[in-house]
Amino acid sequence: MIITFATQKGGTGKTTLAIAFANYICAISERKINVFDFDYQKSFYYKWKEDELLDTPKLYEVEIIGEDEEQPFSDFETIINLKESEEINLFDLAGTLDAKYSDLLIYSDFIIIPFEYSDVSAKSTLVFINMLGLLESEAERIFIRSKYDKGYNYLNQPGMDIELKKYGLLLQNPVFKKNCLQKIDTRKLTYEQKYGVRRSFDELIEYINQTLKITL
Amino acid sequence: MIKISLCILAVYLLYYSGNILYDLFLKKEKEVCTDEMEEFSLSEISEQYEAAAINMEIEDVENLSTPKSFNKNQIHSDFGGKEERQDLEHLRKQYDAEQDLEPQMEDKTENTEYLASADGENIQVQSSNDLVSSIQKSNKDKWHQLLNLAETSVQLIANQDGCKIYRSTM
Repeated sequence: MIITFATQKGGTGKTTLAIAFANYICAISERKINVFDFDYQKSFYYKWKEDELLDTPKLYEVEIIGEDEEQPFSDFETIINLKESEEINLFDLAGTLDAKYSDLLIYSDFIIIPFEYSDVSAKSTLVFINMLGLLESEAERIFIRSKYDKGYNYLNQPGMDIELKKYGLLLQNPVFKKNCLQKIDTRKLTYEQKYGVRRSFDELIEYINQTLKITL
Repeated sequence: MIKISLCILAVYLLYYSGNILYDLFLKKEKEVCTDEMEEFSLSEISEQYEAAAINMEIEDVENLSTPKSFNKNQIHSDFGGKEERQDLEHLRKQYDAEQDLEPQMEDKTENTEYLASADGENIQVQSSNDLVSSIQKSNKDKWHQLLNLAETSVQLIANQDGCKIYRSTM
C-alpha cells in the first residue's frame, strides 16, 4: 500500500509526523516499511543518514526519489507494484505542489494531510483538496490537526472542521504541540513522543484497517 | 647498237601509244568518291520517326518476348566442376574491375548516404526530444492551470477576529 504525507503548505509538520508514523508502525506492526523521501529538501533522508551514528538499530530504509527524473512514476508499473504490495510504502512530499507528484497523489491509498487552523494553512489545505479533486485522486484523505495547542481557542475551528469533513476523515485526536517531537529521530520513539502521537495514530491505523480490511 | 636502241625506242613508243589508246577507249570510268556532307537535324529525325513512336508502358516491358537465353542465370550456369570455378573467378574479376572503376564515386555516395543517415538519426533524436519536452511543457502548463483553478476555487466565508473560515467552491 501507499501512504503519503502531503499538503500544499510547508511547516505543518509533515516530515515530523511521517518519521513518527514510520517509527510507530515499526513498533506495532510486523509489516516491512519502506520510506521514500520525495521532498527536494530531503529532510527525512538527511535525518535518517544522520541517525546512522546512533547505537540503536535501523528500523527501515529511506530512499530518495524524484531527484533526476521529471516524472518518477511515468512507467505506471512501479507505482502499481508499490500500491499492491503488502509492505507499507510511506512517502514524504514537499510543502509545495509539483507536477511530478501527480501520479503519486492519484494512486496513493491514503493521503495524510497535516494542517493547522491558521489562515494560510486552512486556505492551503482547501487548495490541496481542490487539487486532489481535479486530479481525480483515488486516495482516501485523512486530515490530522498538527501542532495543536489545547489551551488556545481556535475561532475558525468549527467552521473549518465542517468543511474538511466533506472531503475525508478528520481525526478526532490532534497531535499536540510538543517540544519532544522536535527532537525525533528515525530509530525510536521515546515514551513522551509516543504519548504525543499515540491516540492520533491509533485512530489512523484503525481507519486504514477498516478501509482496506487488513491488519497493519 | 643503233638497231638495239631503235628497237627499245620503238617498244617504248608502242607501249606508250597502247596506254593512251587504253585510257581513251577501254578503261571504265572510276566512281568519284566524294565526302557525303549530309546534314541532319533532330526535328527531321523526330518527324521521320513520328509515326513509329509509341508509348511504352510497364506492361509492355513485362510482356516483352525475349529469347530463352535471356532467362539463363549467369551465375548459376550449367557448367560444372572446373569450368564453373573459372566462371566464378571470371565474375569475381569482373566485379573487382567494376569496383575499381568507381571507387571515388562510391566513396562519395557512401559518405553522402552516411551523412544523410546520420542527419536523419540526429533529426529523429532531436524530434523525439522536442516531442518529450513539448509534452512535459504541456503537462506543466496543465498542472499550473489546475493549480490556478484549485486556488481560485477557495472562498472566504467567515472572518472571526482574524480567524478565517474558507470553503471550496468546486
